[in-house]
Amino acid sequence: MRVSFIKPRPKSLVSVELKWFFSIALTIVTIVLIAAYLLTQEVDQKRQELGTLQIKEQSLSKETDVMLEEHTRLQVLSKMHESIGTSNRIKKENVKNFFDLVPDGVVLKYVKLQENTLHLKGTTTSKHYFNKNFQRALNSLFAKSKTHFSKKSHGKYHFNNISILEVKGE
Amino acid sequence: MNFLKSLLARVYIILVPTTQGTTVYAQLRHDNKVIKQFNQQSFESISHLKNYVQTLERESTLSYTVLLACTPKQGLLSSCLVQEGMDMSSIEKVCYGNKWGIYIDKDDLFELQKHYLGVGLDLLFSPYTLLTFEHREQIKSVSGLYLLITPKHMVAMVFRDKEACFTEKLETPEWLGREAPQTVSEHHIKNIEQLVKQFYKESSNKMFIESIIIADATGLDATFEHTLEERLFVEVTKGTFSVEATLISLANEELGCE
Repeated sequence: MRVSFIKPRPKSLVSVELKWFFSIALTIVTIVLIAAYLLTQEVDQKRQELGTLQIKEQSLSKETDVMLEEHTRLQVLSKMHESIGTSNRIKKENVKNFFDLVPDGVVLKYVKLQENTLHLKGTTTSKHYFNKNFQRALNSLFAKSKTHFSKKSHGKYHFNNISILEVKGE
Repeated sequence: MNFLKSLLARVYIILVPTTQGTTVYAQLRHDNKVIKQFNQQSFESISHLKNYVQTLERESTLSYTVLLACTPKQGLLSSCLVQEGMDMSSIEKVCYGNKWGIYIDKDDLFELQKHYLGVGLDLLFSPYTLLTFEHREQIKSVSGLYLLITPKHMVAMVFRDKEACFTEKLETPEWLGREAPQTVSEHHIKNIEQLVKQFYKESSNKMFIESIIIADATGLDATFEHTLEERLFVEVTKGTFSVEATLISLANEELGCE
C-alpha cells in the first residue's frame, strides 16, 4: 500500500562517474576493435602481396638460374673460342716458322701436321744436304725425328720423315 | 532490476522541516541493516542543504530522499472516494483500504516540491501517515486516541474499529524547549485535554475515548502518564520512538524492502 504523496524518482543503478567510465571504456574498445580490424585487413593485404612477391621471386630465381647457366655456358664457349684462336694462331705461326726452316734444296710434296706428329714427304738433292740443313732443325723442334730416304732415277732422293713432338712415357 | 537493486546498499536521507530550516538525518542500509549512520545536521540555507544531500547521495547509487510534510492543510478523509464539502481536485490523497484516507493540499505539496526542487524528493509523508505507521499494531486491536509527540508537533488521531475518525496537529511553541520538564509535561497534558474536548465537540460518532496511546520522541517522564490518567480518566500507554528511524522504516516499507 502506497502512503507517500509522491512517487520516487527513477533510479539508475550506475552512477554518473561509472556511466562516464563505461562510455569512455566502450569508446576505447570500439576504437581498438576498429583499429584491430583495419590492421587485420592491412596484414591480410600485405600477406597477399608477399605471396605474390614470393611467387615472382621464385620465377625470377628460376630465370636467374637459367641466365647463370647460359652465362656459364657462354663463358666456357668464350674460353674455348679464345683457346682455339690462340691455338690456331700458334699453329699458324709454327707452320709459317716451319716453312721458313725448309731450305731451298728440299721440296715438300706432302705435309701432314697432326696433334703431336708431323709427317713430311718430298725430294732433296742429297741425304747429306737434307741432314745438314733440315734434319738438324727438325731434331731441335721435335723430340724425335726420323727420315727414310729412297733414291730416284735422276739422282735426287725421295724422303719420308716422321717427327714426334712428345714421346709417350718421357 | 529489483534483484540488482536488492544487492546494493541504499542511502536514506530524511528531511524534517523546522522553524529555522531543515534537519537532515541519514543512514546507509543494506538488507535492513544499518551500515553507516551520519550525524544529524541542520541547514537554514537550501543551497547548503542541497550540497550536503549531494554528498550523501555519493555514498550509493541508490539514494532516497524522504520529507516529512509539516504543512497545515492536511487532514482526514473519512471516505476516500467522495468527501462532502471538499474539492477533491485540490488535494492529493493516500487511501487506507479504500475506506478512509489522508490528504494534503495540492498547492502546499507543489510549494514543498518547488522549495526542495534542487535537493530532489523521492517520498513525502504526512505526520498522520507517520502516526498510523508507528501505531500500526495497536490500531488493529485498540480504539482510542493515538498521539505522536515530537519536539515540534503533537499529532493526534482517533481510531475506531481500525478506522481513523479524527485528526489534529498542534505546533509545539519554541519557548517550551527551554522550560523545565514539569512545565513541558503540563503543556502536553493541557494540549491533550484540548484535543479530547475538540474530538467530543466535532465527533458525530459519539465515541468515548477510553485509551490514549502515545509515541513520545521528547523524553517525557513516567509521571506524565499518571497525571494524564488521573485528569482524563483514561488508560494511557506510552512508548518512545524516533521520528527519523520511523520515517526510514516507513520509506523502507514503501519501497517494498520489508
